[in-house]
Amino acid sequence: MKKLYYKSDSESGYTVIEVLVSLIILLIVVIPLTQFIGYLLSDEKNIEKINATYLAEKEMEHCIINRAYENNKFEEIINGRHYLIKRNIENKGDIIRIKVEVLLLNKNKILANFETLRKPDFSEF
Amino acid sequence: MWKNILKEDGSSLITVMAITTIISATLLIILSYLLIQTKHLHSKENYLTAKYNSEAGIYVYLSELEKYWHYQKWMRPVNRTININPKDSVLITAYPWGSFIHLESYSQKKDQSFKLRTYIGLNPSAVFNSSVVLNPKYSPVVLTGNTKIYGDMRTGKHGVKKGTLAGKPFTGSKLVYGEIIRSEVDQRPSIEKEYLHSLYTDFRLILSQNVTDNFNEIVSDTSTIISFAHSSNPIENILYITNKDLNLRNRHISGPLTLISKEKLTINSSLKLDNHIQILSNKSIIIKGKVNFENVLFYSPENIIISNPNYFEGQVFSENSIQINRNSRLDYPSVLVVYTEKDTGSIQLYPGSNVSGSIIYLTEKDTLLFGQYRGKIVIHENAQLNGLIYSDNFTTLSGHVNGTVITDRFYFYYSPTNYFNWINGATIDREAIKSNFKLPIFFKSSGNYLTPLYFR
Repeated sequence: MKKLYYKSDSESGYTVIEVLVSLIILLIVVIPLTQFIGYLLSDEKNIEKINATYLAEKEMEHCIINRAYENNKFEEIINGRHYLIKRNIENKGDIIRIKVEVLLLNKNKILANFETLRKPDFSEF
Repeated sequence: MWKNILKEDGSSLITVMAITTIISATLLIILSYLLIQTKHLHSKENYLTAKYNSEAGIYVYLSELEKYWHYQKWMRPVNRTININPKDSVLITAYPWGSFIHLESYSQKKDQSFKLRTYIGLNPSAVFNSSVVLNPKYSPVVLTGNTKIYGDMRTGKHGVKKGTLAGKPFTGSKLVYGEIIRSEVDQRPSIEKEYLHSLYTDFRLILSQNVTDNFNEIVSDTSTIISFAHSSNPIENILYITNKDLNLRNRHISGPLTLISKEKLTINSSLKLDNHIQILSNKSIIIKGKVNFENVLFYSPENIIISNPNYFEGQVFSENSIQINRNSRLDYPSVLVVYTEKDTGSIQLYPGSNVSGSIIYLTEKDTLLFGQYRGKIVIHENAQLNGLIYSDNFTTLSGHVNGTVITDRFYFYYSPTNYFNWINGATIDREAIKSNFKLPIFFKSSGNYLTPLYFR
């Protein structure tokens, strides 16, 4: 043990400067790469999802408060991203199902999706 | 270490480890941030899904209730699951709560849950848009003093006229600031007496039960906060209580819970009651402490008197009289009901009192006494009601009503004369009531549909 410790304390392979330089190079490459991968993998998607959730909630509340019980489709742009908001009303007897979907326009993928039920003749608070 | 670095002698491993640690920590922070952000985002999504499912549960249950109303499904407490869509369901808890139905809808979506609480009441039908609706048998209505009526008035065929009382004439520039709708047809909305009858029968039944569980046996004398939140409805826990129990310390009791008493109750303490506590007593109930009562219900076959509470939102049922004393305030949706087989009771709002909700005086039998001793609702000078007055007997108005008055006749006494169908110095303003005012459930037969009062 003592021998090993002594050995590691007196390594004579690379100098500190060499190690530092290699680490700096590594950092220059790794950090932006990590950020880029993270951005690609998560952040970009998160931002899209956050926006989509916000838009879906906004549309749902608008529909409920204003009793806008008819189908609708429109686009909205947030920070250069184009979203498609779809409101679908389905009659189920005396109850209606309100479904709101938000898609990223160019990807045609549903990012947020909420639904609820209402009785059209009831007042809201 | 720094000395060794300068010498470039045997420090590389430690330096590498230190720098690696720093880099790892940095990367870990970045990744954690991303992870938290993703989790937060999913939480938000799950929260909204749970919220919309809870709301959906309320409406699905309301729709069922409306459909099966005549089977009186509402009479029993409900605790069941309703499927909202193939993936999600909600837990519905409902029970009759005096003039309303208490309804809870609970939904869980992964780590997020949402519980909505509401009362089910009724959306007023068109007749409630009038300021006054009277028995058409008795007309005209005579207005005197500084009486002001804003909104349509539905009367018998002789309509409305001015009158002079003790030399003082009607002072207004217009009789009614709205339309006078004359008709020989009775336009007063009816009350489901059957509902009120069942409600009062239930109160009497609970009171007649031989309850062996005493409040003071399950709660220690030193307890100040007592919760019965584990119960799904007030009938699940029925305890016998004494006047002393209600005045011991400034307790906070949280329901759902039913407390029954066989003695006169006088609450002097700063008692706090909430979350659906009903107090039923065989004797009179007097509330005169600085109490905080929310979602409470009181029943007594005798008198109930409320004086200056700190906060009061609740329902009061009596078979004799209810008295709201000076400067007392009762918040929406408070309801005061006298339902009686005698027709000599009263509901009185004394000067300075302010009640938001409904005041209802109803006689069990259909044939009423003749004369001035009949039951009545009295709104004294400077008292205010925001909501509905419904009396199948008399109404004496000297104060202010923001809302609708539906009554058999108006009445007041000015020595030595009884004035039948006269209004002296009152203001009735239909427009001043909030548009989201909802009615008690026993107006169901009048074409009013069920609706939530609020979402909490």
